[in-house]
Formats: sequence, structure tokens, C-alpha cells
Amino acid sequence: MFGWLRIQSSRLHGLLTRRGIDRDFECELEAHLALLVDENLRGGMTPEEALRAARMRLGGLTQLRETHRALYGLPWLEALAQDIQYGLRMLRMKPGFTAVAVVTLALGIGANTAIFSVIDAALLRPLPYDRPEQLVEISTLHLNGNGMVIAPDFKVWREQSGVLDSVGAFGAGWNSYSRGANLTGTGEPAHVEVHSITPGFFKMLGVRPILGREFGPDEGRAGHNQVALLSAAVWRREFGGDRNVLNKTIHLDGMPFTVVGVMPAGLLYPPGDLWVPAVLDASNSLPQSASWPMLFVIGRLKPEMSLAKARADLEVVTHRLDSQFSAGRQKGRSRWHVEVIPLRQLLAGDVGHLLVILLIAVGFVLLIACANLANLLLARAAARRKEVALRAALGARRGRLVRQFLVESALLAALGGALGALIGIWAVRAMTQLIPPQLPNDVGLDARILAFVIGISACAVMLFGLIPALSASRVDVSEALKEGGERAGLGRGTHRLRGLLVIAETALALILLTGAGLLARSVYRLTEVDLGFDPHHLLLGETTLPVTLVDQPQRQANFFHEALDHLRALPGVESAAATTHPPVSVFNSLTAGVLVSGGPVPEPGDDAGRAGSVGTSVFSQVISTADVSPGIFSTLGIPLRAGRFFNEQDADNSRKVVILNEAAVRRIFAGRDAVGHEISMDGAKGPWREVVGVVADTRNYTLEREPWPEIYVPYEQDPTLVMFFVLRSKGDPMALVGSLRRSVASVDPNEPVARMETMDEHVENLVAPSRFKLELLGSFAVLALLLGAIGLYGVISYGVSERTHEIGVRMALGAERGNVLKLVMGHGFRLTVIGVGLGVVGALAMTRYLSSLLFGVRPTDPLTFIAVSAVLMAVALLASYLPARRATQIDPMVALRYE
Amino acid sequence: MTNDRSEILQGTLDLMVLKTLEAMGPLHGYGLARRIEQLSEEVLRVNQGTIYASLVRLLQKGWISAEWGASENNRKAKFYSITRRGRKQLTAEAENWERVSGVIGRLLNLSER
Repeated sequence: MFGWLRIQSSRLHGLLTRRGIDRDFECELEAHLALLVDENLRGGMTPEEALRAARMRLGGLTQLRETHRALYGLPWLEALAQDIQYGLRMLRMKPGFTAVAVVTLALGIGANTAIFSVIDAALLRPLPYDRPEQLVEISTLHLNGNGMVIAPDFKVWREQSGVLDSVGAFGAGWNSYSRGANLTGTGEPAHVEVHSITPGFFKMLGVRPILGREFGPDEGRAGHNQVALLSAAVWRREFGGDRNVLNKTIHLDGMPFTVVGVMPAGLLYPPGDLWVPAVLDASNSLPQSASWPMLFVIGRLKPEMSLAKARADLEVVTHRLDSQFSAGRQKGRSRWHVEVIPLRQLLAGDVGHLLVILLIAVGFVLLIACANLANLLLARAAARRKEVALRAALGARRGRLVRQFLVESALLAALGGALGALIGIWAVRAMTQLIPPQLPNDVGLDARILAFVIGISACAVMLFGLIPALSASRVDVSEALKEGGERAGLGRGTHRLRGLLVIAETALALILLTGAGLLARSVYRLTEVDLGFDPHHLLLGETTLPVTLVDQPQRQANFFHEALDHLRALPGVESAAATTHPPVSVFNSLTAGVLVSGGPVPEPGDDAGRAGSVGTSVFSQVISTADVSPGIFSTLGIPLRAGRFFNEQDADNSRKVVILNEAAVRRIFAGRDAVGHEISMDGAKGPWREVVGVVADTRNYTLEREPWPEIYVPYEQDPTLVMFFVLRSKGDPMALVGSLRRSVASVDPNEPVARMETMDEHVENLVAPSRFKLELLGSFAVLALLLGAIGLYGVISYGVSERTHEIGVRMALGAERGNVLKLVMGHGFRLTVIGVGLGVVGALAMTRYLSSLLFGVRPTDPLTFIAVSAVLMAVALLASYLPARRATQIDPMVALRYE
Repeated sequence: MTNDRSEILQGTLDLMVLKTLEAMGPLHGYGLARRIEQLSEEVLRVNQGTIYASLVRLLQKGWISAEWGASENNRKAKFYSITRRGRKQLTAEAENWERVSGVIGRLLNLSER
């Protein structure tokens, strides 16, 4: 190896200093010749004879110089340079061909580059934390995709587990009630998102404040926790990036906090504009505590610790606590599992699956582009047979000819790759929403993407360049030269090869189209879901009361009562209501155990085995609860099934009542009559509430998920800090935005209304992700279809031009135009039918991987398969009709003279 | 000319050049060519110019080195001498050569019998 390198480097040196070496060699030859002449003169020759004999002894000077020169050069490098020059000239000579080839390839490579950039950002790039591979999320219960943990479990992990270097947690809000807070003391009041966080959390992540310090252990104790960390965004927005912000006092919902530090920009996880210390002490984090904060727990595993080992250890530690819980809780806990997943998996979610599907889709597009190019090159190789034969006759070896063709392909790939990278960088900007929000979404050209582009272009060369190169270089010199050149068409084998390429393209395009078709049906189904309520003419807006009112339920109820009175009086408002949980949204509160008076006590966890995965088995036991104003059902348009609606008499001091949806009746009463029974959501001590009515189910969680059991409680009997106002408008709901805000402000000028949107918008936003996936896959499928059609068109048209003579003869012998049309289109039809057949088989095998993206349609939906095949056949027929029509217009006289 | 045959010829010539330089010390191209002609008893009669290809190859492998000097008739000429690596290579090659020629010799004798 080293020897080879030394020789190559010496040769390269020779290449660079060629002139000096040539001169030296001349000098050397001259000396040699002179010595030979001297010898001959000594032998008695005449000077002329001596010189001639000397020249003969030395050998042909020209040949010596050539050999010497060759030894001092890099012949392969020079030949390559020659090939490249020649290749560029060929590409310049056929600008149309070059443009089609480069653009086709660029589209394929561009689509791949874009998807790979997203994969790079979402799955490959290291997370922006210290040694991110050790970071994990630990949870005991999966809810809404997020694993939340009760404080006692977190504490026991922190204190007793041997698998963690460190562990930290943050809350869903900054107190048990909300995550929104009114930030004052900075000028304008601002609504900010605040999370409580355990001291040391950022240190565990390896993220340092850019200003000040993180919370110390002391600040996690009650009475010492009035301190706050700012995110860079809030620091800039609300404090103008003032470095004197440290030790200043700010107010959250009127409570004072001292700023101790500012976190760096670009910190996307943990969430929050502001953080305050989480207080976990005997009052709220022992199994015996009355209630516990719910936490998200992130830990750093010890080096070399496996997930399985960590899971096993934490499971043991968790169940050590079981016996300290009350008897009612123990049974449920015994079935709890501890889940440990890499932080990457938490942050990226299941986007990986979608990305793999998209990568396969763009892979298909590239394969089709390559097949097209191979086809074009095969056709061109036929046109160049004479040139190849001539070069072969002049002594070019086959390897050299293959190389020449490959170099031309590589040039195309290089151009296509460069243009494709540009297309990809442009296209990926439309795809950044695929990147989960907690991950940095700056996509751009980095080394990995560049390597990917180069790699994929090289693969493309192999795919589309090698077959034509091998086929073109296999020439029978005498045959090709004898045959009069241009008319010498492709051989039978090459024809079959081109047909196979078209079949493959058709099959791949059909698979992509089927996927897109299934997604389209899903989106349609999603928009057609029966929501169980009337979503039109509804306006929503959220209001959060300050946490300082937490102990004054009467004031909370009064606020909403008064606001609703104002809203109902508004012109343009048909009805107004309030709820803690509007339909098709994440649940506000869940209860795990509902007791029925006099009935058997439902065991939490009774149906744990019913649902499929660990994540939902716990979830499946819980029931959503919502506090609502009496008018909520009529405002939303939810019909009554039994009993009665709430009314103004269901107040704080009257009998406690609830209304169930039908799913809850099925769950709690197994479908029997529920009205008149009493239930408790808060254990045997009550309060016990009478079921006064049953209402129809709504899609209360997501569009896709079947209605979930839900219990409605009059808000005056269970006041709360956060509620959504729901207005039913007479006209355009957006026209009420201003008056909603003003009406609420007229009750309390410090109360803003957040997250205002119409229900129609809300629902559309839920469909949007599916629509976006459809748009992506759909555009790849259309691209595949177009490229496939171009490929078929190319093959059929070439076939026609090759058979001009034959068709002319047939027509001269009396063939009808219709016959010719049938002859030509029949060829395209046969190829397409085979392609569609193979494609259907391929699609049947592959569409099941789409299942998780589909809704209301089976992966083998026959209607989709038929429709897609029909579309593809139609496009294919058109692609072969165009050249066929040209064939019918052949003038027999001209065609025969063509010979 | 096929590759195989030229490689054997090249190898033989290279070996002869190395051996000659080892035995005679620094020589220029003419001297080397003359010496090899004498040694090979005109059996290996080739154009003297071919020696230069061999010299370039050996130079590139680092087995010989070259220096400008004055020839007998006071012309500028390049003098070649064997390097340390060249000597090592020659020993190895010579052993190899003897082994191969021994085998071939026995083989030929065998078939003659």
C-alpha cells in the first residue's frame, strides 16, 4: 500500500514538474548517444554511420520519450480528465437531454435531501445538552402521551435508586392549578407560562444560566422558594435584556419573586417562559399526603447503564412504597409500571415512524428518476453505437468504454446532486413543522447532509449509469460499423431491459399513489367525523384567575357567573356558557376511581388488561371530569338522553349533582339506567353527587378517538380558577372577539382572555397535521406518477421512431390508422398492466406500515386500490397515446424512403 | 504486447539493473546498458533505451538514487547508484529467484527424463 502511494506521489510530482523532467531526460539521452557514437567511431565507422548505428542501438527516440513520459505521469488521472472533458462536451452537445436528466435527478435528490434534513434534525443531531445519551424520561403512567409521576415516586427514586447519577422534575404548571401567570412589575403586565422545577434540574442537563445562577437546594423548601429563573426570550421581551435584572423583584399573579438567573436562548426543553423552584416536602410528597403534585421526571443514568437495568431497578424501588399508601390505592399501584425512555424518544415522539415512511417514499421517487435516466441513457447509447464501435475498433478497451459512459453519468449525477441539494434546502423549509417543537429546528446544509447528498448521488450513478454503460460498451464492432450506423437500433435484450424499467417505475408509482390515496381518504373521513355537537358559530376563549384566589371558591364562581351574565346580554350572542374542558381537547382533569352508592365499588385497574399497550391500560380506567356552567349543553348543541340538564338551581348550597355522557354510563353502570344513583369521585367520604341526567357522547379528546367517559359537574358546586368561555353566535363568531374581551374586562380589568379561536378553526387545526402528511406524501406520489409517465412516454416514443419503417410498410399494405394505434398503445398497455399488477402486490405488502397514520380506512381499502390503479392506467394510456398518434401520422412513402 | 509478458521482462531487467549497480557501483545509463549486454552474453539483446524505463521504475520505488556527474567524454550524465532499500530488495529478490529457478530447473529436468 505504502509502496503504491510512494509511486503515485512520485508520479504526481512528475506530473507537476514535467517540463524539467523532460529536459533532464533529453540531456541524458544526448549523453548516452554521444557515448555510443564515440564507441562506434572507435570501431572505425564514419561519423554518419556512427550516428545512425548509435540511434539504432538506443532505440526510437520518440517512443523512448513517450514511455518515459508515461512513467512520470498519472495515466489514469489524465485519462479521467480526458473522459470528463469529453463527457462535458457530449452533455453540452445535447442540452435538451442534459436538462431533462439533470432536472429529473435533481427532483429525486432534492426530495431525499429535504426529508433527510428533517431526519437529521429530529433524530440524528445530538440533543443540545451535556452527554445527552444518558438522559432519560422516567414515568409511571402515560397520559396524553406524557408520562406524569406523583411526587412520592419521584422522591423515592431520587433517594433510593442506584441507577441514576441525578434526577430532576418539573411540574405541569407552577402550582397545582395553572401554568399561566400574570407577570407584573416590568411595565406592561404580561401573560407568561411558568413551571415549577426542582433545584439542580439545569445542572443535570448541563445547561448553565447565562446570567446569575440556578436554584440552590435550599430554595426547594417552603418559605425560601420566592425566586425565579427567566428564559432568554422573556428576559429580552419583558426586561429588554437588562443585565441588572438580577435580584430584582417581579410579581407573578401579584406574588413577589426575586430573579436569580437567566437561562440561555434556544432552550426548548423543559418548557416555560419562567421557572420557580418546586417545593416537595412532607406536606405533599409522602404516600400519606392528601394530594401530590404531578411531575415530569428526567434523569441522568449512570455511565454504561442500560435502559432495561434502570427500568428493573426503578420498578423495585417504586413498589417498595406501595405498602405506605392507603388500601384503596395499593391495589392499583401494584399494577403500575415504570417506563424509562431516552430523552430523545420523548422529545422526538413517534415522528420517526412518519419520517421513515417519507424516506421510503422519496426513495421510490429517486428510484423512478434513476430508472428514467437509465432509460434515456439506454436510448442514447443506441444512437451512439457507431461512435462506440469506432472507438473500440481504434483500440479502446471495454473497461475504458464503460468508464467513459460512467463518467458521463457521474457528471449528470454531480449536476443533479448540486441542483438537488439546492431544491432540498429550499423544500425543507416547508417541512420544518415535521420537527417536534422541543427540538431545534434550524435545518441547513451541514456535513452530514452534504455527505448524504454525495452518497446518494453516487448511488444514483451506480443505479442509472452502470446498466447503460455495460450495455453500450458490449458492441460487435464489425456488425455495428457494417450496418450503416444510425438505423442500428437497440438489441432485443436492451428492449426488454427498458420495458422492465418502465414496469418497475409503474409499480413504484402505484405504491406511492396508493399510500397517498389512503391518506386522502383518512383526511376525508376525519373531516366527516360526527363530533356529537354543532361546531359552527362557536367562539372559545380561556380565562385564568390569579392563583391568589385559590382559597376563595365563592369569588371564583362569582367571577364566571357575572361574566356569563354580561356575555349572554351581548348582541350577536345566542347563548354563552363556560367549561373547564371544551370538546376535542386534552382533558383538564381525570379521576381514577368512581364510587357508586350502594353498588359494587369499581376497582381501579379492573379493566387494565383490556387495552393493548402499557401506556393506555392505566389510562383506560380513568374518567374525565369537567366543571361546566348550566347552559353548556345547549350552547354546544349536545342532546339530552335521559334525565335533565343542569339549571340555575344547581348552586353551591343545593344538592350536589352530576351529568354523565353515555360512555361514562357504559363504563360505570355497565349501560344500566344511571339517573337517580349517587356517585363519588373523591372516595367514600364523598361528597356524593346525584346523577340527574345523561347526555350524548362527543368526540371529547381527539377526532380519532372514540368518545371518552366524562362526568360533568356544575361549576358553582366545584369552583375553579381556569375556564373556557363558549359563545354561540348568531353570525360570524370572529365578530365577537372584541366584545368577549371587553365583557370579561368589565368584570375585572386585569383578566385577559387567552387562546381565542372558533371551534371550526380548532377542529381544522386538528385535521391539519393529517392534511400536511397527505400533502407531503401526495406531492411525492404525483412526482412519481409524472416521472413514471415520462419514462413510459420515452420508451413508447423511441419504439415508434425505431419502427417507423415497419409501420410505414404496414400502412402501405393497407393497415388502418386504428390498427397502428392499437399496435403501439398495446405495447404501453401491456407494460402498464404488468406494472400495476406488481404495484398492487407491493402496495398490499407495504400499506400496513401506514396504519398508524390512517383513520377510518383499512390499509387494504379496495376502493382506494381501484381508484389509484384507474388513475395510473389513464395517465399511462395518455403517455402512450401521444407517440401512438404520431405513429399514425407516418407517411408510408417517407417512411419507406427512409431506408 | 500483453501485460503478463511485459511484466516478467520488466522484472528481469529491473533485477539485472539492481544487481549490476550493486556489483559495479554508480553507473550512467550507457555504462549500465553495456555492462548488461556483456553479462547476458548478448542473449538479452534489447534496445539500450529500454534501460531508462527500468531506471525510472526503480527510482520511483526508492531502490536506486540518481546524481548528475560528468561522463568519460566530459558530458553531463546521470549516475545511478543502489540505495539501502534497494540492496534489501535485491537480497529478497535473489533468494526468490534462486528458489523459483531451482524449482523450474528441477521441473524441466524431470520432464526431460
